[in-house]
Amino acid sequence: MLLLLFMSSMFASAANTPEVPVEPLTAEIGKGARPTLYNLPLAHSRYELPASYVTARELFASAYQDFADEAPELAAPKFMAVAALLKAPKPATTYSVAFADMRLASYRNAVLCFQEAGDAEGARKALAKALQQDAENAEAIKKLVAGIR
Amino acid sequence: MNETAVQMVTSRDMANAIASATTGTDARAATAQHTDLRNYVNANRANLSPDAIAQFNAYETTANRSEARRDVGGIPAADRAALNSTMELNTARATVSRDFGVNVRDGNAPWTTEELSRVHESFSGMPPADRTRLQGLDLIRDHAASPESQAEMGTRGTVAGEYSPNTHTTNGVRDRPGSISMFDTAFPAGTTPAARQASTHIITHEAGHAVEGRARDDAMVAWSMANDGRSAANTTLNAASNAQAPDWPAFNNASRTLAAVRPQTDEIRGVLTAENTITTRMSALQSATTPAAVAQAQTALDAAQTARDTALARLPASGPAREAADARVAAGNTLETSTRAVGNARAAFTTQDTATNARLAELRQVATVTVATADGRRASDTNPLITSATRSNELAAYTTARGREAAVSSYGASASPEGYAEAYALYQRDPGFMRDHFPRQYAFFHANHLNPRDVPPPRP
Repeated sequence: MLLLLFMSSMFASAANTPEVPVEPLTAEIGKGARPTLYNLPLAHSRYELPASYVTARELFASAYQDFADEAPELAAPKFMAVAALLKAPKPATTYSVAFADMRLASYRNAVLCFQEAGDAEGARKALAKALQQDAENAEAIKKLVAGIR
Repeated sequence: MNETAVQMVTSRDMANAIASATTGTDARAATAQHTDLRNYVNANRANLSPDAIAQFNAYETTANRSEARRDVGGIPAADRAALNSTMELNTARATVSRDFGVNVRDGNAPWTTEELSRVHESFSGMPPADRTRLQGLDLIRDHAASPESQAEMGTRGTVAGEYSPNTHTTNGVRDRPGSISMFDTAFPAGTTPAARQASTHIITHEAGHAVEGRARDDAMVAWSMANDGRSAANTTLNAASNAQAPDWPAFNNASRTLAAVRPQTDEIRGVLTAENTITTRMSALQSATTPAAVAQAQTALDAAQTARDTALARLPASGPAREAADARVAAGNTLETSTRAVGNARAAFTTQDTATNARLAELRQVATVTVATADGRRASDTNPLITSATRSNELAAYTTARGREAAVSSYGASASPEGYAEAYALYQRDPGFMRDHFPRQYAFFHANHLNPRDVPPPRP
């Protein structure tokens, strides 16, 4: 009897003055802003750029679309693969500096995607490998590693 | 208003005045001439071109040396000859620079008067519209191409000249202007017509690269400068987002604590309703993409906070509800600060992103830009989808016009930009030969880069 009385009073209260919930938090509101990605710089050569240049740009576009499709875990390794395709030409050429810039943009995007996917360890591992292979961007890579959260 | 134009004293004018002052004089007269000329220069410096001042400086060095030695007959003949050579070179530099708008620079080798005369002859042979593509370029004399450049040439030969677009930018600034470099092999020894022709071909070939690619190169630089700005703004935006990230969970926790207070009185419901409005408006501030939208979102947030403060005033001064509400307000204020930083950073980023898109549109006017399938994405997403932007419209038009016709030289067959440059140089130097042997390419250049010497053959 007592239970019935309690329940009826609760229903009456709910019907008259509904509780105010906390505003439902969408992913956008609750998690803060999604990161924005970097563009891939352009390179130029007096002659033809190597075929890997176009392959890298196509892969970059694919990774970018993965991120836009909210699949950062797919995008991150693709961005690292872009950097690998754009390895420093040997011997150095007139587009070496541009390729180094392109690799850095790819690393930056990879880190953003790894973080977005909640895989900070993956970001650290990928950059540790890149650090061994990319002398031109060594300092920038170290800064990126230090900034991984 | 009626103004009288002041005639600038040129390099050539000054050289003539100096020649007059140094010929056939004794020491006394030479010193007097030197003094007169120096006084004239000091009094009229504003009307002297930099090249004229350079001429005077060369003269002054020679004259001072002669006066210090107390040369009896004025400046000795050998010194006069050396001075004249220097002034001729200065005049040649000034003339090439003035007539074509290039910056004549010595690299690790010095330009000579003869070499600059070959440059002048080569550039003069180009149609006036094509010459505008040379303006602003550095014209550099080096002994040999850089190892990087030679590496690109590979085994195809020794680089004799080089057009360098220099499209790389750093922090929104072009590293250096485009350039044409000429190397020792571009200037065969001797002054025979054959040697001169060889130089002219190489110089015109490199100028042809500028004609073919300059518009694309400048547009690419403009895009890169804008993209540098976008990258910097993006770094700021992502840092602001990272800084903001922990503020959301704190805010959400404070919200849940307040919502969990029981009993939920009308006063608490009033505060919760007001706080929910703040949450929504905080989100709008976070997502704002223009300075105006940031300001608008901030105003709306301020209004929501005023309403919230009114609701807060109705709460008891102490107790669980008051504590939870105060905690929520404090968390909200913290979040507001970091969210405003995100909003401002996003607006700055959007401005740069828009600029990059505008530069891409301009690049597309002068080059073939291929883009990966966008799958219906927003237009602003085009930049990361660029797969190629290296082929100028000029080169594309030439390639189409040429069809299957052979390249004009074996070197021209090595790469399509080289094919263009070789054909351009041949047409400008010998349009008749081009017409007879490469009619398709001749037709292209005749239609688009008409050389004044390209006259129709007489009718039989």
